[in-house]
Amino acid sequence: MKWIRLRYTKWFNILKDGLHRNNPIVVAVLGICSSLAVTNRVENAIAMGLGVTFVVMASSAFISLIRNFIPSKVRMVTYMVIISAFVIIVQMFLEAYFPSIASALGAYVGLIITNCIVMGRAEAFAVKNPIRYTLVDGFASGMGYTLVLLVVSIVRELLASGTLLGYQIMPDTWPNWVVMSIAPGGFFVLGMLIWGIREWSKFYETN
Amino acid sequence: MKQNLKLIVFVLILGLLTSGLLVGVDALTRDRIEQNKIAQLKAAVLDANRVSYNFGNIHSVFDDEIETIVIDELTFYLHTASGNVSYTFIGGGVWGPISGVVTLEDDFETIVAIKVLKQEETPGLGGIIAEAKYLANFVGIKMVPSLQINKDSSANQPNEVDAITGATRTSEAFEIIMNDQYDMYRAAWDSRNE
Amino acid sequence: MSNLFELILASILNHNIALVYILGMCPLIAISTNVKNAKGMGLAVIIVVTLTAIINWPIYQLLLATGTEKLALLVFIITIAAVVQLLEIFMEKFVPSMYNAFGIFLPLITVNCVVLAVSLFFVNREYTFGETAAFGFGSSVGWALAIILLAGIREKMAKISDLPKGLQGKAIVFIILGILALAFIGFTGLASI
Repeated sequence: MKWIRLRYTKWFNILKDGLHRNNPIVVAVLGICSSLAVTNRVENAIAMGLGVTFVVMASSAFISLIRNFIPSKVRMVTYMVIISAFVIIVQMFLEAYFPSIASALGAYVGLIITNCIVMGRAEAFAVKNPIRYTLVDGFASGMGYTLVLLVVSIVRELLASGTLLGYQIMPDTWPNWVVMSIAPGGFFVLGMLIWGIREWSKFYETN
Repeated sequence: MKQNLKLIVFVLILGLLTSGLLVGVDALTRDRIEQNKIAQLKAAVLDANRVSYNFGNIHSVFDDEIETIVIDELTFYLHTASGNVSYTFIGGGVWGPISGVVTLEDDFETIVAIKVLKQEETPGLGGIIAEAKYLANFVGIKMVPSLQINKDSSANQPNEVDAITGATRTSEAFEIIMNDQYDMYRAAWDSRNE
Repeated sequence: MSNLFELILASILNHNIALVYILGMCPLIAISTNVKNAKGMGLAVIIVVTLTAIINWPIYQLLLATGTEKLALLVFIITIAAVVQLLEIFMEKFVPSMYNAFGIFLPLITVNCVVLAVSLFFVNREYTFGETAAFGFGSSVGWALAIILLAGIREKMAKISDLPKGLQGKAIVFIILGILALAFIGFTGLASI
């Protein structure tokens, strides 16, 4: 056990990083656009979280493979092109062979392409590290992102419609806080969550 | 200069490679995606008319029960047993096109069923436009004088449906799509009977 | 002509791309620490978005004509990057003071979702050239309006508000954005897009 711990310490640190210290949403504040739209329901948050994790891992892995060939000035364009091409191809395969999944995830595809986390991890990590570390980092960032999405969506769905994953939790007399299902609600919950987490973990923003 | 040249060459190669890849995958999957779309369309029409089928015989059942009529380049699907007529609609939603199948009774005014096959609205909000639970509100509603999707809480007239709470723009867009497409198909359908 | 004016009005107010469509959040949050930066970024976005909208429209018509619309997303990304790069070179040569003022904002715009979103929207809504230009201009002005509003509030708050440490920075920005977004809902139905 100890031997495994020693060998994989670097992996473990990268994992911890992505989930906690460098959590993409709470600390680095990336990937906001999409997290606001999809956290209105828990099922959307789970689908989006898994989708982003998959895309981050795969695209970062690919970028990590060709990292020595990308000229510095066109890094951003390269990331965008690779990520979009990858997401579109995945979407086409889903539409052809798993049409029911494709129609369920259809709207997320556009959101994943523009998700800053995918680009952020490519720039901050994938282009500087070998593939095995990149995969762990991609997984960690994706999971950190999914965790935050889950928390926000649980609060929003409960308050907006009294349900969780479609199952009625709140009593029938609960007046639906419709504001929680539209964008401002997402902003408020996210802001409060970041406040809470920062007070708890003492990772303040130094001015 | 040499630096810039290298840059341009790299971007060109990247662009060509990825475009080639995309075009390739598109060619590979295009047929299957078309078939899936046709199957979805047929399933929507058959479901609205409560005809049972399974994955294996959907095409033969469709051919048996539904008569496809083309008037002025518009396609109508007539269920010969009941007289219900279906047509596909498409129009602009908030984030992207919304398309699906509308089935009307033989008076061409009363809605039997609406099924939304493709949309790109906000999941869980505008996306409710595609959910069976919301679309059930349209059953029995009349398309004349025009379909109204309203936010007010007054008692609904036979041509009124409640909008989706919190998704005003999608509801508005859907109302416009429904009415515009209906007018177009109505004109063609009426000209058939003349 | 009045239709174009209504389109511009709509894209600034009730279809504001930042506060109603919630796009372009990353740079909105990052660059709104003071009004000076916000004005600079806003101006840069207006120039780039309007230019790329105007350039992408004929390119898309070409794609349509050759039946290769599937590549639209990819082509748009590349033209946007090219436009930004060319703009940088142009500004560095002819208006170096302005170039220095913009600093890192210009390359940052390549990854601003607003630029790509405007192009994707004109495709979806099948706008004419005039409508695309008006829409691009209006949307970017709307985004600039949002970031300047936000920056003004943040600047003032930094001077006179005693915020708890956990709220400082990103957290309070979200609360402010939420209130701004709520306010802009009041414009619903003002003009049609």
